[in-house]
Amino acid sequence: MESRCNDIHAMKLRDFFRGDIRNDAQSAMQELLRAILIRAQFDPGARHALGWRGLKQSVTTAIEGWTARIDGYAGVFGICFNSSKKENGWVIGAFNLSYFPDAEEALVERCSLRAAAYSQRPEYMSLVRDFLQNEEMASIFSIGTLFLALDIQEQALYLGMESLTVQRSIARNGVKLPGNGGMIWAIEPGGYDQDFPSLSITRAFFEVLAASLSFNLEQLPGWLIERCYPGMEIVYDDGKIQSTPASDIEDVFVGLGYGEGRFDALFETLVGKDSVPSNEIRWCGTDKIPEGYMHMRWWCAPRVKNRRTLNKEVLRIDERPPLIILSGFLGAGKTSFLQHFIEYQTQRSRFVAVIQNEIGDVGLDGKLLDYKVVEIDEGCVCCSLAGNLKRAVQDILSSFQPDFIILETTGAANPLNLLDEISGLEALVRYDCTVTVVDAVNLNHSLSHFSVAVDQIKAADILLLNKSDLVREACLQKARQQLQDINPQAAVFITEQGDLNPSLVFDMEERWAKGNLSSAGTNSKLSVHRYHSHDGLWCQTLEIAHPMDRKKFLSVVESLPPAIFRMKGIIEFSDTPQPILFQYVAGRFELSVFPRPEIVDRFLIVIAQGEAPGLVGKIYEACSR
Amino acid sequence: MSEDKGNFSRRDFFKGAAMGVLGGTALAMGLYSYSPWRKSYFPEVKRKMTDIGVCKSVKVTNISETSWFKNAVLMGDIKAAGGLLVNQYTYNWPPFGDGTGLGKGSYEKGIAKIKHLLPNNLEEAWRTTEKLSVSPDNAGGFAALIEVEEMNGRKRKFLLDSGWSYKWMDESFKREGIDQMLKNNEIEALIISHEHFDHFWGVPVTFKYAPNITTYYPQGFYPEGLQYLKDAGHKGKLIQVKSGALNPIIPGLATYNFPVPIICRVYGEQSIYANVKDHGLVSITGCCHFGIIQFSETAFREITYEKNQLYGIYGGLHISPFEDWDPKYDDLVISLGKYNYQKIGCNHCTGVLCAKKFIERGYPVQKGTARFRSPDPAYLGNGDRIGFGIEV
Repeated sequence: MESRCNDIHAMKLRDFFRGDIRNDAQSAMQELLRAILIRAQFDPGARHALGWRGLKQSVTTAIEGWTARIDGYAGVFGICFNSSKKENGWVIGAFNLSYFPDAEEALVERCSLRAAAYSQRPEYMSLVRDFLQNEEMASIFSIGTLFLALDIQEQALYLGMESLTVQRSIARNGVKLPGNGGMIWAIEPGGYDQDFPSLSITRAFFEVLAASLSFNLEQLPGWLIERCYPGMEIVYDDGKIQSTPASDIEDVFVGLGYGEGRFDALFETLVGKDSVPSNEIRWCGTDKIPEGYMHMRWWCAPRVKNRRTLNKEVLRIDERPPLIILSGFLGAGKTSFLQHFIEYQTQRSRFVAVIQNEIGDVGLDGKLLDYKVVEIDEGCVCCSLAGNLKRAVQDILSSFQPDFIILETTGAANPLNLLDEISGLEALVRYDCTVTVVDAVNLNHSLSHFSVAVDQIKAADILLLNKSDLVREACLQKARQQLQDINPQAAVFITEQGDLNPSLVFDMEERWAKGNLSSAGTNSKLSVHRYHSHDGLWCQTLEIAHPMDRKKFLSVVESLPPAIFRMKGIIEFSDTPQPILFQYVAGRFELSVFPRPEIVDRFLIVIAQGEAPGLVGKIYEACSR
Repeated sequence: MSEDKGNFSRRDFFKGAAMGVLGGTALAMGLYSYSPWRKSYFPEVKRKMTDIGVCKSVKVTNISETSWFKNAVLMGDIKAAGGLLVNQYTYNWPPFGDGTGLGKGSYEKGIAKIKHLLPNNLEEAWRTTEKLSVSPDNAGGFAALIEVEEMNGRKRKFLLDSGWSYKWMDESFKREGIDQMLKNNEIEALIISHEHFDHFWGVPVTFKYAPNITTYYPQGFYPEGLQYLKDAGHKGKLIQVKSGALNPIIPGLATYNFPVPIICRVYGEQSIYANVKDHGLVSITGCCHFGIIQFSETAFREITYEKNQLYGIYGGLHISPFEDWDPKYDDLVISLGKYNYQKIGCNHCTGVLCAKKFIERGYPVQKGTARFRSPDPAYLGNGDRIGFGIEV
């Protein structure tokens, strides 16, 4: 690992943060957090590698806060500014951290009754998005505190956290609630009301935040401390609420130091405790990194800086841009789809390259000839060249780094024939899926006159039944049925003007977090998390506790019902020691060796459209021994 | 005992139940408010509610919104140079080209080629830089003329931004008569929204006609930007607009500098707020990089305005610099509706299809005429005007 020397000149703070900490500490600390969070989002590859899965700023009349999703957690984190102070040459900011579990998560069972009740409200997600409007929301889901401190000379920066291993409250007399026609014990006397594993979740967020800080500073921390104190729990009955020591709970403080500074003194200020710590871990500079911290993202984050020098291993992501095949007759609405897609991506500063063939140029066997890379209005494309597809792709990749490549085929082309050529591009691009745009107005005519129309529909993973505004509802449903008869596997979307929100179908893997896989303390049942979206699309994550039987698994996969659109996960078979990356899109799947043995999670994310009873059960079955 | 609560599942029990089911237990009374580890959650920060005064009307003339002409070329250049985190001064775009190619430039080497020609010989400066820069024909620029009518009827003019290409901006200035206005000292100040190439690098064009013009720039400018203000020939008063606070200019007109990192190594963007009598708050933005949502919420927090109504908006509208964690909210069309703007003039980085969707939804978008290289009437295009509190 590269040297963790902390040359003070290297600290690039002023490059990404330009606030004034001397005159307005309160604003400056919020601004510093804002800068760390926002700048880490600019590069899609970087933000994904750092662990972000979405960020939203919340501004209220009082303060600034954030909600975010990170890798590995189905719920939403909330951060809000609490207070700031100046002490001993440091400007310090404290931020509250909350975790709002997904309504279906097992973690809800460990929230307080009140929090659990909130999580099941139909408007829960809106409350989460606006949690700053409601102090109760922020506090009953609170899990810890984050600290940010900058020394006045701006030569040192500290990032810290505090959290309890478990936040626990005990109902001495139990709690009875109305149910089943009478009163039932929601909590047995002496049972747990809240028993939430705050520390592990706080650590996960802290890791992503620290990685983002390392990334922005282009520097590694040079100092680390972890200190544990004996913790408390709450016991209450109808009259009294009191906190008592709990032998199995610890109050844990972690701190990271960047640059040269008196971190020890700062740490004591933040901890401010008189009691005796139960444990301490210290690290600095040249020491060996403590075992529990060896795989933290913040050690390798600075190398995410330049995409060109990315180390795939380190980043754990696939660098190849996704390739989407776009097919459909002339006039069906391909160009409209493309325009919407490109504008959407451009607004998010993402670059799309489109390869389009000359109209009418089809060889005798139906294979496309003469791939030209042409310009399309608003936005994407690049050079003009003739030659075969592989050369076109190579040329694009050598001059640009597109976030997407779209191969647009014309009406006469049969996308099924392309698949061979596409598989030859495996090293360069990741074939994502085929989108076919269908003209609802002329569907019958096309189907009866052109056999290639049927093939275009068959080849699709996503079907856009377009021009829905020009067709009556009954005809539309009939058309949809026709499409599903020809291709039961594909996901069908009804569109006008080719407008399909790409975030629903293309960004999915970025955003659907894989669920809480490390629920401390629960035994290893298969825990399930389902996430709903509109258009009948839903996402469910399955934890897999044991290596599976390869034959059994693959035979289930090969006969999956059409409702399943995508699956992705890290799995293990009983016949091989290495973990395997499994990727499935509409009937096609790929197995590859997953090169990171230290990742022990085994899971499958399933994304499907529509109802499919028994579906998940089937997969479970395949996953069991 | 804690793990196995028998058959009691909190998720099942509370699904669809009303909050009142918790009854009068310690829970309902707010057990949450007691906790040895709870600190007070929300600090004492008040809504600032600053009164910026009122004006009678505001008229905006779009001098140019076409910051560049081909998105493909711009995005391609950015990507090839290394992406959105790369310092814009290193791209080797005009006017800072030094002939070494994409991504290998610097402010110092670039300015050295043309400094002696600024600001009075812009034709030669641009000819020189065209030969040394990457994609020089793609450069356009953003600038707008703002005319504020005071309550007493007096009209006051301000220039928002100065675009990018010397050639294109000079042409656009002449087309709208800005050159004459500057020469006659009719324009009181130049307000630079942010340090981006397409809003700021064309300042020599303004300084050629009015080198003494008072210039407002946002705190957050990098050293290159500060140096360029000098090298570009500015001789007048230079005012740094501090971030996070309202900066009043004249009654009814103020700017607010949002301290956020912006792509291409820029920091901070100031936007203009105008409080129009009997109508409400009008926002005039360059790019609104931090997002129209943040912008509107900040207005609500910081300013008191007529009829508590967000009345109008002009400029480029970004939804947000980052991805929402819920895909269905990643939609500017839906989000904008919440603010109930009464008059919208959008262009530049808004997106033509997005603007069309606004129109389809029935949002009060004032359309343009798609002249002088503006792409579509859904945009308030080059040479088009919009009035707030006044008909144009």
